[in-house]
Amino acid sequence: MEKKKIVVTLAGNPNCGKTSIFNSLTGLRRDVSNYPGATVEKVSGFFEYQDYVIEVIDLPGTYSLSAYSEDERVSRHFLIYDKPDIVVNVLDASNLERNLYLTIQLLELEVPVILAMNMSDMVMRRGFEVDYQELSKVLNSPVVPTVGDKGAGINELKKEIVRLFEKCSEACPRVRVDYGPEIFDEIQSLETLLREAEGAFSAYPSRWIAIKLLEQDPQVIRLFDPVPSRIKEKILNRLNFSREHLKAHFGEAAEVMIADRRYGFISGIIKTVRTILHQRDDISDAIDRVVLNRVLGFPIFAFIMFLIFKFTFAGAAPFIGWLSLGFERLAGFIAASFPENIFRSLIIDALINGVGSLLEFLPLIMFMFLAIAFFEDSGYMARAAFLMDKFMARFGLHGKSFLPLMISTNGCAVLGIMASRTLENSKDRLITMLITPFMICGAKLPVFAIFIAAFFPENYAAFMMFLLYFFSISVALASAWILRQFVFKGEVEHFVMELPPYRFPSIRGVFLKTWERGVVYLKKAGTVILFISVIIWAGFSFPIGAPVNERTGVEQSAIGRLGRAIEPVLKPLGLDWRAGTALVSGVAAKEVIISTFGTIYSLQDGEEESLEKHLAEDPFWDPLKAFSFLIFSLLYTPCCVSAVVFFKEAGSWRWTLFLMFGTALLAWIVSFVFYQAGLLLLF
Amino acid sequence: MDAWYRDGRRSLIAHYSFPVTIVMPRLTEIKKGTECIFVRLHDGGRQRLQRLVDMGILPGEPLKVIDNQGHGPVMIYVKGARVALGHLIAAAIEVREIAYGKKEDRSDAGGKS
Repeated sequence: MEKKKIVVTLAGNPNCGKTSIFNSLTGLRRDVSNYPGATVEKVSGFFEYQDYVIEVIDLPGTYSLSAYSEDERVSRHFLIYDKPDIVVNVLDASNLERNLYLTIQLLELEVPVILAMNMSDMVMRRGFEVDYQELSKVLNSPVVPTVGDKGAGINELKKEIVRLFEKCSEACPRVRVDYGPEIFDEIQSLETLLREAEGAFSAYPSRWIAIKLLEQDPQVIRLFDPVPSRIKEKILNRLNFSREHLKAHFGEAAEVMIADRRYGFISGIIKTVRTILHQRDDISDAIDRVVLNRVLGFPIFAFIMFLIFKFTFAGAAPFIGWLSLGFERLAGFIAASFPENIFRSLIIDALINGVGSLLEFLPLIMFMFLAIAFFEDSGYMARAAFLMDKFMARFGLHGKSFLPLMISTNGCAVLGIMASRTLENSKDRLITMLITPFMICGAKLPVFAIFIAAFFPENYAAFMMFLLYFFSISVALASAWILRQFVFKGEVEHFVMELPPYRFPSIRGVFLKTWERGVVYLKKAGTVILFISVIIWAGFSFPIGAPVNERTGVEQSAIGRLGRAIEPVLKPLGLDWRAGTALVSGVAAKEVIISTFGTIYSLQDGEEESLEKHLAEDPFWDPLKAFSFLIFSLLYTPCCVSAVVFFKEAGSWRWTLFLMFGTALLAWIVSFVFYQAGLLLLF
Repeated sequence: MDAWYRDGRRSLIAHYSFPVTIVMPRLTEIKKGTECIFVRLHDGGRQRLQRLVDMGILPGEPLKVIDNQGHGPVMIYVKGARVALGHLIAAAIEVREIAYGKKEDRSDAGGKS
């Protein structure tokens, strides 16, 4: 028998544990795409239950369905036009005051809603008791207590989805907020006028349209554009009258009064369904007193960042070792068993190398996200953004900009750029995304490490590394400031952020989150990196007639020629065609800089010595040139994966090109200044 | 010259507007641990107000300041949750302090900073 399909969407506030419900429902089968025409990611998955195949679509976490952020617009658009069969509204059961606000708006959209009271285990701990049956009665919708992190209540939720689907395929229950007589009258009269407009808004519940009109929702007002002007004028005139009337009556704008009534409705519900058992003994306040303490706050912050850093690198190191060993053996095996030709070269140099570099990066990402997910779920990351806001605001950045910058420091600019999505305002987001590639990412790290080891005495290595970190952060912040002053004039997006109560993160939740992000990385970056490693290989191997293993091979290859071509540009920086070639290839991925040098040197000498030694012994290089090279590679064009992700996130070619060429220009200028100044001072 | 310019904003406003307007404090001026009531948002567009409203911060709402170091963001307790507000937006929020022990006291308790 063909199974019937139910489309379910998950909606909920940020921090309500929506992702854990999604994961518990669908397992880890997920599909990530973008909502059409938006930078918002659409995550969907499915599961089978009884006679149904149930598709689950995760909406972005929002507090409301007003149209002031892209997330909200996307959610709303989806709910209205794609008409999911069931909306599962995930709520943090221990924080109903805020969470029910979205519920009310979902109910006003007249979609069938199931309330998943998530984190229901926290309710008792916070000293409350919630009568779920009563809540279900008041809201005329099924209520299921769940604990997403532990997978509790998931079966009941599935059952309820099927039951509600079978029960209300036609009409769904309505809940009406009591807006009081004044607002109610205005809603009524607008509704009457709307009904006259006939069919123009048949996709929407007319009451919802009326409320949204009173709220002056810009998107709903835009719906009136195609409406005949006679009707449009009539409705808009009535609307103006209504708003003025309400303003005169309440002394507040209509939208504020409407929100006020909704919250009033919610507090009425809460009074009937929630009993306070004992006075809340909130441990969060106690933790915040320490963590946000004037004296202790920053040391604790620094310590936690250090922990994340240490955990990432120390934890991932053995895995990276095993992986690279495995790939080396594999390459060795293939090299031994097949004759040398272009295909063997393709397999070893392009595919195995590509997959290798992709996978070797994965442990780092997984470990980093394990640590980040732990602190995110515990509630600390929000405090970190709070602590950093004062500092970041000075450079025209947002407290939330800190996280993307931190993720890309030693991590990956790709992830940093993706993490910028937490910033609601597009200007803030763009600035953060533009400066994120300046940070020293995990791929630049080995480049710096090798050059420092080769050209600077061992006891200065740590200091040099510190200097580079300091420099990268300074450049990033200075660029943010400049962009804010001259390009994106206007206020910093107003930092308004909920700080969730502290809780001990569940191991399952943290692992799921880590796994999910690792998979997203592999899917998003995986194919691109693989594709690019083939291009790079082709760049080295072609034009044919320049066999890879010949002494002059690299110089003859397409990339070598490009390196030669830009040599005159790099000369004032003290660099030659080999550096140029490495830098060109580094646009593919920064770690390729090392492998290009490796190719260049092992080709020229045919020895199996370490690159570090080769560089140190090469008479061309000196510490000043090395430093100039480091500065250039720190600042120049981000790797193409970052650029691809940047383009996807920013949705603009103009900004992507600005990023790619602007950074190259900046790198050139800064390296030029350093090198020439160095020449003057040192020689 | 007149003396009005000497002590800041309050005198300035008193000088310019007649009859004397009582200047209510902004959220950034409220000390840690104090409760106050959101009166209105200054120089904010629709979007800025909406962000606050969606977080449950609307006129008439009691806000408890949990953390305020004067220059940075302000952390408040509102509708059962902690919310961090950036300095700029907090500075635009006009509040009325609640006199200690008298929640319903409507007399002006603000004006001191």
